[in-house]
Amino acid sequence: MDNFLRLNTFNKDSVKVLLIGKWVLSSLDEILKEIRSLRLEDYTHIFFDLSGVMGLDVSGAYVFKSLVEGLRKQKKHVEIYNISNNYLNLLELIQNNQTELDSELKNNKLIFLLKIGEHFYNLLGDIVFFLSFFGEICLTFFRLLIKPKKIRWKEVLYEIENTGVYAVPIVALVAVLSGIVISYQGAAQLSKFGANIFIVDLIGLSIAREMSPLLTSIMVAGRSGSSYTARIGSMILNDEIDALRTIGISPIELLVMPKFFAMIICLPLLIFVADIVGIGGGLFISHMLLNLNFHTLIFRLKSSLSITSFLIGILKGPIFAIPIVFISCFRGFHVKNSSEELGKYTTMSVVNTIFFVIILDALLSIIFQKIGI
Amino acid sequence: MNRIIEVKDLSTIIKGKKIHNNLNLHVNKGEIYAIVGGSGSGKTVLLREMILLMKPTSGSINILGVDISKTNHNEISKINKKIGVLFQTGGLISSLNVIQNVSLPLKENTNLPKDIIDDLCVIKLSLANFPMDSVYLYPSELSGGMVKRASLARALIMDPEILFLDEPTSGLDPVSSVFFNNTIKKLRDLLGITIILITHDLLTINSIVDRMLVILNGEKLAEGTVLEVSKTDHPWIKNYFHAGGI
Repeated sequence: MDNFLRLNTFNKDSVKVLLIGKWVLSSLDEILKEIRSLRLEDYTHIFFDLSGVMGLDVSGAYVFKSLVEGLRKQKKHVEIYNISNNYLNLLELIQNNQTELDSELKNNKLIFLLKIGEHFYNLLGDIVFFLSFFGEICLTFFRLLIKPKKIRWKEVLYEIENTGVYAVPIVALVAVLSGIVISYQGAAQLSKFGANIFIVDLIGLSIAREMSPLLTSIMVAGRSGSSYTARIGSMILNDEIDALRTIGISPIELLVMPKFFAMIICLPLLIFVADIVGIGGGLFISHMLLNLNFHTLIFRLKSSLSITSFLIGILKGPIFAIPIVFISCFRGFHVKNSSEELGKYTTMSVVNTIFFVIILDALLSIIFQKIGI
Repeated sequence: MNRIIEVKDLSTIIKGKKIHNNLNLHVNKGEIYAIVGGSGSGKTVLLREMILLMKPTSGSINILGVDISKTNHNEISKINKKIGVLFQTGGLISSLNVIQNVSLPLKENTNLPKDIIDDLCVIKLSLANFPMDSVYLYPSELSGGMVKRASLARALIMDPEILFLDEPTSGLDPVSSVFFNNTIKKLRDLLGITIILITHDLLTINSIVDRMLVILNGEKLAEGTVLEVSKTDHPWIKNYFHAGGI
């Protein structure tokens, strides 16, 4: 047990403590344990002898110094012998650099109030920031309407490729799977009533009007929305946005508007693809399960799926494109100074866009119901 | 064990490009050793090999008596505890505030009680001249000089035997960089740490460095005391020392 401190008791009250071994960070645990077990505070006169110390670093010196100070605070008589100049300098260095931490923030019991206040303050800032962002977007949009020459078609095409073309496989896969699911579920129920042919109405209407716009928008929001946020956010971290501003390019015009135009063009087309593939998959499964031939199925589809329903589905594309682009870009511009914020706002962007798409879809359903189409 | 680091016949080839060609150098215990060289000359790769982040293609690196090209995981973590590194851009973890950043190595590697860890952090931050009213700030809220100081405090927290500094004064104004140089020198004098630094700063070279190495395109041009190196007859070295002496 006496690896670092060796006691030499003179009498009941005084003790000589010989410090030995390496007083360094790696052995600090054991040193602290030894100090605690020795109960030096039972003596009134304590003499430390440092002649046996093999090595002392800042941590070791700190522990020794706090030991001495602790004893002195308890009105003990402490003396230190055989301390080399080097070690003395070290103790002095610690003396000079030991400052009390300002613990006001650390132990604040009302910290939760502070958090609530901070939260609301941030929320208010968010709203103001969104309004100014939205204003800038509207301004840029109308400016571009007046001068369509300023639309950056190269960027628009690049975005169409990225958000449109490359999204086709995953959108088609999701659509065909949803078609299969609907027709499996529908077939099981409808065959009980002998109403096999109505499977076409079910598939056609539900896919064209609801499923394919909603699923496609959610896929695109997760796929492209998150990438918009991350791209804009990392550009901010790199000072690229500020650089664009000083060059005289509006970041909204260069980064947001092309994405907006691309999304308005792509989303209806993707929904169209999803319609075809989804209905195709559904009808194929109906053919397999219910023994309906393709001629009957197509004929029934023509009479059950009205052009209005189909157009409503397609029209949801440009409507959903608005929250997807604007929210994800808005969240991207929210990133200020750390990579942690980038992750936080990317998550937020995906959650917010999907949430808004679903809310909009519900609103549209109610509106269409009221006006009767 | 006077030679604390010894590099022998070090060659590094990355993606077919030769970074180092038969490099030999040694660092003595307790000295401030500078690695100087043009951009892209392999300084940072050399440093990364010395701090066990990269493996050289051939040759050996001996640190604290251990050949690190032939070590296992256990020994690597032992050496890691004996070295401190200040990265060029600080390398502070952005999700932790300054005091959490500095205390991270202690929390991971020791079982010390929290109040002792806090006190040790304060001492090291103060040694690095970090202003005490800013210890709860996050890295993104710090200025460049404060990032360097916080990062120096973190490099010092484990009381390392060797301290590696990657361009410690880059991005600092001349006054701060003189201050930073003095801090480094003070640490060496008081704690006896060996310090290896990559630098372009003539001010640092002339004021605190004991010995230095000049590399160009992966080849050693010169090694020795600053005076010896400055007398070497090579155009690059002449230009280098002339750049600051107008």
